Amino acid sequence: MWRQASKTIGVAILAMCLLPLPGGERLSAAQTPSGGASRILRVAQPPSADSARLFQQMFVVFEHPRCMNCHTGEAFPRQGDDRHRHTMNVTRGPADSGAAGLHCSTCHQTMNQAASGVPGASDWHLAPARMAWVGLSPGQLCRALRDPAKGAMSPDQMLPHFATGLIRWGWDPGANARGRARTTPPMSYSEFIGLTKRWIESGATCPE
Amino acid sequence: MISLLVNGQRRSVDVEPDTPLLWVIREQLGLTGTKFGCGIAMCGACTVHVDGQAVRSCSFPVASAVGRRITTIEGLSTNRSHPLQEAWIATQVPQCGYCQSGMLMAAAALLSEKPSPTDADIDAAMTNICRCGTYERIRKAIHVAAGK
Amino acid sequence: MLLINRREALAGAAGALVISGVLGRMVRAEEGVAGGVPVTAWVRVSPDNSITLIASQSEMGQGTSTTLAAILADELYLPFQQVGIEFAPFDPVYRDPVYQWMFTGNSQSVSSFYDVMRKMGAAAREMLVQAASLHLQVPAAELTCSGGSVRHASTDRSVTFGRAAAVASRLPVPKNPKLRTDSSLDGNAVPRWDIPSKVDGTAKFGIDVVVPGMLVAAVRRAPRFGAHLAKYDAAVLQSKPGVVRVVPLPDGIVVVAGTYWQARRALDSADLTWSDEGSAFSCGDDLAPVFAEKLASGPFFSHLKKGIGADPASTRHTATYQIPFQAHATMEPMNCTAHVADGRCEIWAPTQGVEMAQTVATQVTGLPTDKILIHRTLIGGGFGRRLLADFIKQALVVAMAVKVPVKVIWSREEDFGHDFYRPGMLHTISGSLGAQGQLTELSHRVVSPSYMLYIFPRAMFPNVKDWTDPAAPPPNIDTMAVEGLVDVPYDIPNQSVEQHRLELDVPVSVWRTTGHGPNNFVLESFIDELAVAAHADAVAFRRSLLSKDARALKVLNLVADKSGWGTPTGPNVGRGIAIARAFGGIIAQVVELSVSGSDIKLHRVVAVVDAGRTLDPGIAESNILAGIVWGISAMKTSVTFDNGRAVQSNFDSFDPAHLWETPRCEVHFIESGAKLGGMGELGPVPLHAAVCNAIYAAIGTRVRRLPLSLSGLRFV
Repeated sequence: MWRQASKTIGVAILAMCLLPLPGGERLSAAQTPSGGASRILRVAQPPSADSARLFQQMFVVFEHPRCMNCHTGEAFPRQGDDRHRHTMNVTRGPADSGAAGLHCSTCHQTMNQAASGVPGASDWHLAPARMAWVGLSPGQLCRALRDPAKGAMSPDQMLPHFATGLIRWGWDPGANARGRARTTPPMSYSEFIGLTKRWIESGATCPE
Repeated sequence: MISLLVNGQRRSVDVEPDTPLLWVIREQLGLTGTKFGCGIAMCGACTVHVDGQAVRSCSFPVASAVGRRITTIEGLSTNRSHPLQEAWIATQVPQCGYCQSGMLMAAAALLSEKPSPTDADIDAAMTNICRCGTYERIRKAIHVAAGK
Repeated sequence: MLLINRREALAGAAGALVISGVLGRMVRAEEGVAGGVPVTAWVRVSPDNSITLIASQSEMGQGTSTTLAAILADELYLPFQQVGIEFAPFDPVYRDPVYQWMFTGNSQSVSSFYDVMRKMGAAAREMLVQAASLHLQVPAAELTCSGGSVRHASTDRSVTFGRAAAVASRLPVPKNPKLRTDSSLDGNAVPRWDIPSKVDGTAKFGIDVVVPGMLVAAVRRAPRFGAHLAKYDAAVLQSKPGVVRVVPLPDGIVVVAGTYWQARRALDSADLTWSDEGSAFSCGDDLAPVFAEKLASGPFFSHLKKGIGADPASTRHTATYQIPFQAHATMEPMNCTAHVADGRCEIWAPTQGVEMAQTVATQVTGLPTDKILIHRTLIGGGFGRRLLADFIKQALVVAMAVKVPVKVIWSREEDFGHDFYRPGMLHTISGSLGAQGQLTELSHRVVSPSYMLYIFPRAMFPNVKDWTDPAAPPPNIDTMAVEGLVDVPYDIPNQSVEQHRLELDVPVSVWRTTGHGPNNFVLESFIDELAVAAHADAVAFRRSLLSKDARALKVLNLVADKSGWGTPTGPNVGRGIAIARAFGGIIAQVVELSVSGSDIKLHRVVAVVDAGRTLDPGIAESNILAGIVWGISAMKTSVTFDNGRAVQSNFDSFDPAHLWETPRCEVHFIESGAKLGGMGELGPVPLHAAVCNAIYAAIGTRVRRLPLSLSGLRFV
């Protein structure tokens, strides 16, 4: 029964994401919906936090070039804070890790290289195109994160994902060949993780 | 001491672990076929194979080469017998030749994954810089080699 | 004197000859020790019949060391595969006969040396035959050469070149040897001797030189021209791993270590303070203001004045074109290995200018020229940069400090920062169209720094002592800056070419195509502008102007034919044409491209070349194809300056042409039988105008400034 309930809650959370959510309403957690988009279920909110607002705060990380440059839907990565197309005609390739003969690993190793200025992290590759974030509003991005068709992960899967070397690289992106340090997202990694945890605990609500 | 497997031979070198593989190959190992062109992985003159994959060795620390199979241009074949080398000679590709070691290693990596590459595949794989401009003949020679 | 000198060198520096030996396919170490016999300065034969041909011209990819040696070999009835090639050190006997200077450049190696090669090959042949005739006791007329032997057919006896060489070398060199009349060389593609070594990693460039006991050095100089090193901590630098010596320069520092990476690492970590002085030259997208100022004020030197000038009854059109500074960015970074000790100097360098280098070496070391030996390696891209001797002087200074062999390698950043840049140019061009749309007047005003100053001081200023610094030159003259303008193929009654030579405190010099490339961009773009104004087709307009130049007319007509000029193109597709007389030949190109927004896709380039004769179609074609790519690169790249320092420092800020941008190209040669022209720099010359004329045809946008990015356009 718990399994069914949690599945249903999952559907309901999804349903919530598709519809505008007025804040502050409370419902009893014991109520069981009959499912369907027309039914709205809200999970009890923590008294002082707005879950959707938490995601809004997290959004500044997602939209930062260190993340956005690889979360594109295009056939190529982008680079730099001005998000120009990656030089050298580097392309996505069939498995998001570069063309035949020019994999990402041709240049990008498992660590940033000071001498050449080439950034690196383990398993350097593009996010699959279905995980493209460019042009999405916070709400759209949030829903995309949760959408199974876009390879969504459940909120509990997010934290382990954010702990991988490639994601953590965003906060330790090294310096370019001129010695100029790459910019990092406007909050520290631990702040971002803290926010994510609170967002998950507060129901992982998506903004409008 | 760092132990490397280069062109099928075990070699030991005494260098700092973050020394770029390029300079270890050229200086400690005396294999000067792999070239220094820019040092920032933008030109490809330093391309070698690590476990069969193209790697720009100016941006690859020697410590990362431990336990892996390194192939340089000298180890691509014996007696210039790789189909690409034969095609490069038949098509008379090189001008000054400085970029060609890296070109051949990049082309070999391409062919090992795509034995019959299209022009688009060649465009996507062959990003090495040739300042002399031998690109037309490079493309032709890759098709020749693939046709074998 | 040369022969004694080289035998000394051969005997005393066997290790060194191994280095130069591996450059030639068949020159072996033991041969270097044994010497071999120089039959003449151009042909050396060993007792075992190994034959080495001496190359006066450097090899930087243009293939001259194959073409010229093939001519020599042909006169000796030797299959080219049978010979080895060795690059000559400096000696007056190898001087270019036109300039009386030993150098490789200006696309003239083949035209300068063709007759020399035939004559010297025939001379050596006659000497070997004469020696064989003495040995066999038969008349020379009964002897033939084949495969490295001299044969007497009727008695079936032969003498190898190897056996005949010693006697031959003591015979006088014939002044008028009989050239072969049965040569099959012309028009045949000879497989280049250096290509096999360039596909297996064995080809040795300057940067690959290894000499016993050698140290390696990294160098850093003040980013700002004219500044010097104000402060550095020698003790800290000296203490870094592997560092043997720190050598200060007037404007920088050299760290000498056991390996390049040790030297480079130490240098990268060094805290260097530069003085706050030097050039204040700033030059961005719009060139520096001084260009426009001088264009307005002059003074101008008149290179050409023909006719009485513009006819007031004509319609006069004027446009100003702008060309940027460029970097050579040879694929092989600058480097030089030198050893100065015990009253001798040995240099290993990828040099185009061995006589310049020899002269500079005598000045820097104070040694007499016969104690200085320069080994030329293969060159990983020259483009004019390696004519200069600045990098050689630098290595000598370091070598004199450390007293052991030392190889100095520049980083790519040093290379970009301390180039001798291709000058930027501002160029106003005017033309008058008569009532029937005929072109009656063409005038140019060019503002350009000097191309020639550092390269040809001898030609311009015979009294120059130190050839790494310019002497006070005659005012305003630089013939290279107006190349392609003073002798256009068009029949135009009134012509004027004026130039103001801009004095700059940043180094500038020759760059592949020298003045021809920039000037043809202006000339041929403007000819198209005039054609448009005259409501004429671009080819027809040019045709009407080529009545006095039959060769150029033929080239024009062929390129129009081969490119399908006039046939319908697809939507957004444009064709553009340009023609040029340059380096003794004529080239025309038609470019076909499409434009989508700001993206230009090059589809096709058709080139037609008349360089008199195409000695080797394979090498000639490769030069033209490569030249087209050079032209494409030059429409993308530029060098700008900020307060006396170059802004571009590596390929992330200087993006040349790549494979995916290269269109399909086809090259057609016309064998007019005219005097031999040069191929090395011909390919890029008409490319810019052909592309820009095609852009105009496609979208009606006239590009008058390069790089293309200034017009919001890019190649894809």
